[in-house]
Amino acid sequence: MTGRLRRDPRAERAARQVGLGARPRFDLAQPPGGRSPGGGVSGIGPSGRIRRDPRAEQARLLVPGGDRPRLVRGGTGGTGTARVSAPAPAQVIRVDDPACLVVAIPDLPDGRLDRLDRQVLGAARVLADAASGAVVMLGGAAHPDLVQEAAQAGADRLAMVDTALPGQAVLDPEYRAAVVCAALAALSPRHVLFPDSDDGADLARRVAAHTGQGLMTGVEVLTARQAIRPCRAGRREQISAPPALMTLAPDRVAPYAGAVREARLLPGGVDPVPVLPVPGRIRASAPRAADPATMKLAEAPFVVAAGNGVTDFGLFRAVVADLHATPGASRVVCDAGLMPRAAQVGASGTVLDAVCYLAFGIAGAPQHLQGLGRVEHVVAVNTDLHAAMVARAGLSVIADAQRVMPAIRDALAAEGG
Amino acid sequence: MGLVLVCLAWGLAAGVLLAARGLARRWRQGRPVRVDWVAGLAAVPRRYLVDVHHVVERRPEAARMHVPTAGGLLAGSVALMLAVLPALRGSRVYWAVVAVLFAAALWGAILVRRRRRPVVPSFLSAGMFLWLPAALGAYAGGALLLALGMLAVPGGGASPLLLAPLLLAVGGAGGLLVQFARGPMRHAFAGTVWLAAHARPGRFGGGRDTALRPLDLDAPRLGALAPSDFAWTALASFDACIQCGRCEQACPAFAAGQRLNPKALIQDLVAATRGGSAAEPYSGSPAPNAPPVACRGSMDAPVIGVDAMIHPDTLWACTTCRACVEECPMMIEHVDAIVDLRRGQALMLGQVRPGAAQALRRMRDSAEPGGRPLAARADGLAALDVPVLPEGGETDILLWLGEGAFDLRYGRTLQALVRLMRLAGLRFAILGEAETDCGDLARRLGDEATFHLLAGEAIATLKARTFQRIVTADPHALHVLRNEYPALGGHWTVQHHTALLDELVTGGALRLAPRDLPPVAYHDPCYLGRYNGEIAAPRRLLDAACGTRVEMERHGMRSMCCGGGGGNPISDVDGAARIPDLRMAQADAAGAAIVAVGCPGCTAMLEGVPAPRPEVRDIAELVLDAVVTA
Amino acid sequence: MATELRAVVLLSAGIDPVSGRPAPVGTEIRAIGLARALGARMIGLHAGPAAPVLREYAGYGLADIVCLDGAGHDPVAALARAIVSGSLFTDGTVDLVLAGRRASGGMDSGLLPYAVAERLGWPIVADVAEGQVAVPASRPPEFDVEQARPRGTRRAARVAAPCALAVHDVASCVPDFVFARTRMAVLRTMPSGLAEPSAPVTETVEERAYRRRPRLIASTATQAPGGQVLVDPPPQDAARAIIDHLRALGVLPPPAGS
Ligand SMILES: Cc1cc2nc3c(=O)[nH]c(=O)nc-3n(C[C@H](O)[C@H](O)[C@H](O)COP(=O)(O)OP(=O)(O)OC[C@H]3O[C@@H](n4cnc5c(N)ncnc54)[C@H](O)[C@@H]3O)c2cc1C
Ligand code: SF4
Ligand code: SF4
Repeated sequence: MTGRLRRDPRAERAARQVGLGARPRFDLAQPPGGRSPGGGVSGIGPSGRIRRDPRAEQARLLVPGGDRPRLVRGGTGGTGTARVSAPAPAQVIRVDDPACLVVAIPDLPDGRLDRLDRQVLGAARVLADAASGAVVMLGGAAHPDLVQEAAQAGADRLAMVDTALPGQAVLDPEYRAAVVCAALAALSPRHVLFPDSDDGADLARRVAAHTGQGLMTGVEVLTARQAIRPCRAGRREQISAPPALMTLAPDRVAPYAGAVREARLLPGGVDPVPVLPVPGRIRASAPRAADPATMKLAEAPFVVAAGNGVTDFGLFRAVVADLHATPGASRVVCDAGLMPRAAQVGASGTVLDAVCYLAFGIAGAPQHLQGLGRVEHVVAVNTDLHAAMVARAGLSVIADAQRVMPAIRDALAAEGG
Repeated sequence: MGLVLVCLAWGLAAGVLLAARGLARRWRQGRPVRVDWVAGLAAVPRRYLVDVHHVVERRPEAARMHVPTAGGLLAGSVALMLAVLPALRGSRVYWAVVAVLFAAALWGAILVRRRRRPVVPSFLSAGMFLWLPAALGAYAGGALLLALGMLAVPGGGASPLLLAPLLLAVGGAGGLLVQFARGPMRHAFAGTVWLAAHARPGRFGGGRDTALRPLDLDAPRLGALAPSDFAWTALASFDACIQCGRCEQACPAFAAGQRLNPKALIQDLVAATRGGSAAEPYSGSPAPNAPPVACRGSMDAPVIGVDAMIHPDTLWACTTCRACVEECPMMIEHVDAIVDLRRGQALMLGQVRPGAAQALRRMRDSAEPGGRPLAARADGLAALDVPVLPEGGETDILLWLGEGAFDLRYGRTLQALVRLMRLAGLRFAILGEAETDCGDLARRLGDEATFHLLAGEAIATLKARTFQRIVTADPHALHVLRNEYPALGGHWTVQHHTALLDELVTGGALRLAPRDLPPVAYHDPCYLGRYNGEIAAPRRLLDAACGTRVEMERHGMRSMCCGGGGGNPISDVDGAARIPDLRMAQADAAGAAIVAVGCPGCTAMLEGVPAPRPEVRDIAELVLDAVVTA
Repeated sequence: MATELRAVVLLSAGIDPVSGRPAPVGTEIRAIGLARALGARMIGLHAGPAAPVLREYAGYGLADIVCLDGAGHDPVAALARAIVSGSLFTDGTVDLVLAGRRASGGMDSGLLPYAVAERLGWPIVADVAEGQVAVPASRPPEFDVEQARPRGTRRAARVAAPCALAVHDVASCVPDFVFARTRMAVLRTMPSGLAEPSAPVTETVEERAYRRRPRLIASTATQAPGGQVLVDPPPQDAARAIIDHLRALGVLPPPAGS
């Protein structure tokens, strides 16, 4: 394939797109028919050293927790960047004769790469670069921008397979696993990386169980030489050479930040299309987003809570609804029966797993703050500048909650109208 | 006529005996317990005249009512029964004595009536109590008139004039029999039996006995699910309740509207033994805000549940503060009853409140109710570099940190204590990571199995080390280590930090100069005061460390709970108010600007009270501020 | 229920993550709860020697626990063998295998239930948050389960018996712990029936104490302002600051117009 003209992946994908459904599918059996729209031959030799953008690198390596940002240096942090070089985004790196393949199988929620998917591709890059290999992204139903995204995220190749059960509206994870197994059998990669998300881990385990290959789940450290994962209830860790199958824990390996990769579409899908002995044993529907008003507090991504500083609970409930948040409360409020007991946040209530917690009139007693264990972002509205909640918050508004709440409602209403 | 009166008295006695037999039969359905009857009965007069009256006298008007009523009625009736001796019947002196006794009883009956006039106070019951004075008065009045008649007409003819008083007396006696068999008058018999067979004889004569009894975890039924699971003596004690409402008035959970009224609880248990709604309906204040229950019950049917007699929330609202026990003139052990019921719920059914279930699971799994790493307990003392006593090690004082140590706020108290101990030149150490939960919370929640697990581990840890005594700033741990571990084979000298500091100040090892502070009020922790009788040392320390000390109305042995005990805070029982808020308001009313505490639970509860409120300081902190270093 | 389900709950000898003490695993406790919610009769199955911690599972409602002796070198084979052997329940075959989605105390890879299901040839649905027997009743019975997905999202799935379900941590079917049950539980040991491995299994995996390592920061957060305090702002400014902050964090959707 050496010396081939640069392809326009977008045009190629468009050419292969079948049907007009909301979720585009690609027929990879068709040979790529797109023609290169010109442009220079890419492929950067080992000559070009990259110019580093320390600011951007720093931003990528920032770690949460604590008031002062910490950086992860060394380890796997910068390998992706240091190894490949690309002076300008206009140029595309190509790997033409890979010594081996490293497959990344992203989740592609909504057909696009999410944060963890990019990290998985970044991790695959680490392994591929060390072995002069190529990263193959194995994907399914895609968004029109996916190819470009994959190229930026470090994919040398793109293998698109259709994992939806033919002619069925429901999803069958067994079928998906069978398709992936068949695709992997065709590629015979050295490593396969999955995200350690619910869907990714499910797929990885199905593949591992089916193929009998060892699986290392929840890998937290990945270099070319070793992979480390916690075990024994997270009290110990297991170290080994990177195995054939791995799932990657979130926020452990930096996404690829080098120059755009080729993301060349590989021909073919899976051939023959696998036939399950008993198809449709599992019929799953598409995920349903939960209603923030009624979802379980422990799982809610965004919680807005009222404490003793809130007097107008009708207003509070209205603000919560306007913000599409899940309501919470301090114990004082629940004790007084102003909010249901199930809304109580804290040591004797619910421990949150939210992304953001907005506290109106909550002092932040230690028993209450225990309930914020894993919450990264806290916003406090409190009349007391010295409240513990203010100290815990990333944004604090020292004001009367009864005045801020209507202002929020008004501002949101003004946007909507 | 005299003979008629004699018959009346003997008839009444026979009726009482019959009714008593009925009561005894019911109690016998309870769990058998060994009773030392000889010693018990011999002790009854003393227990009654000294211990019971010590409690009754706290309400002088109640004492003024009870002495003539009970004394006159009992002595008068016994005197009448003695009139079988013909010689007495002929004696005017004798009839004069009888008349005086019944006059006293009549006066008592009037006072009994006055208690509920013009309105029945909320803490008293109505129901059969409403016509009790009438029955008392009729019997006493009739007997008085008859005795006067005998006095006027020696030899006692059958004057038709005496027919009316006779009928009155007979009617009254009949009424009293009903009151005895089905109504509150049974307290006389039940109370006597309970005094003789009391489950905690150590309480009498100024002693103290507050440790929960260990449970045989191999017994087929654990704790109490139905009335018949209680020891029979406990069933007798429930019948002894005279519904005076003192427990209700003392109960912090009741005051906060938390679905618990100890008086109603005892009466519900009584009703359960009598067939639930079939029993004489309870007419006092109910458990506040408790959702309605079916009021179904029998000796062998479950008592707890919405389809039974008592709403489950009632059980979990109790802070085990023993204020009710302290106030009860019938020496009823409410906390034992509540813990028995909790044991049944927790061990046999696994029915505890969600927060408690979580804490219990963590205690089983990681020996810590908050699920925190044991090594983090001493984090608050990290800067002070307190030595850790290794297995096989030796020191003078072992400092038991307790659960509160995980809290930063309480860490400051412990730091103050450690500094003071250093200043006094004491040799001490902590257990570090080896300190596990003492099991107090599990035990109060009724989970005796988890308590045994934790206690067993803690006792083994302590036994593997050598020390003179244990000092702790946590009264709950103090109580468990000092009073409850001995039954499981752990015997140590255990001291509260205020006792140690008092010793150091009195002995001159620490010198204090009183500081000019705004008024300080001391809040007695239940587990130090009522459970262990230690109320003087903390006050001595405060007097030495602070300028002005004020007392809240409820203090010392009759102090009010902060709401932190017995698993109440993790059980999250809905109420109308919060116990610590009530307590803080009392401190405010006493004019205190600082509330001095000596317990991590009290610290957490009182500091959780919304501002503005008095400041909360541990005694150790106040003492450290006042210490004079030479 | 027309026919009673027979469920096997896979048990591991777990340890508590904080203390490292032996402790039942939360998801396995929930698996017991799910079996109860489905109205199934159940037997606990543990590949390995009887351990005291197993008795704690009994407190959550497992009256009968079978330990497979000599299963250490191939737990998957031993479990699958026991499940199909027909010797667990006296009155029929196993309809349902329940497990936690991940053990806590061993390799904790979450692979075992999949491997057992694969060996049995049964479908497996993981991350189950709740489940019920599908109506109308069918033979074999079908189950309607809800799979937990991030941020409170749920996915419905239907699967027919015999099958395996792996239960998620967020499942709310936590049964009550009843001490009295632990006293009555039967812990039986059955031979695994596996041949001794011909050669000793050599594990090449190296293990050491876990080291906590910092994570990468969330990409959204880097754009969000941090540690900002607004003292007595006009309410409109406060509202704007909060809304902008929430948008930067991605928890509040952008205005409808944009
Ligand atoms: C064992 C135990 C367990 C507990 N468990 C929990 C628990 O699980 N969850 C829990 O929440 N608590 C728990 N608590 C109670 C906790 O200690 C506090 O009492 C409680 O969290 C305080 O709630 P708050 O902050 O709403 O009220 P407050 O302490 O009264 O604080 C009110 C706050 O609102 C501010 N404010 C007042 N007016 C206004 C206004 N107009 N506008 C804006 N701000 C205003 C004040 O400055 C103050 O900071 C527990 C306590 C104990 C002892
Ligand atoms: S339990 Fe005791 S204090 Fe309470 S009402 Fe009865 S007799 Fe009075
Ligand atoms: S121990 Fe305290 S809380 Fe419990 S019933 Fe008695 S007074 Fe009320």
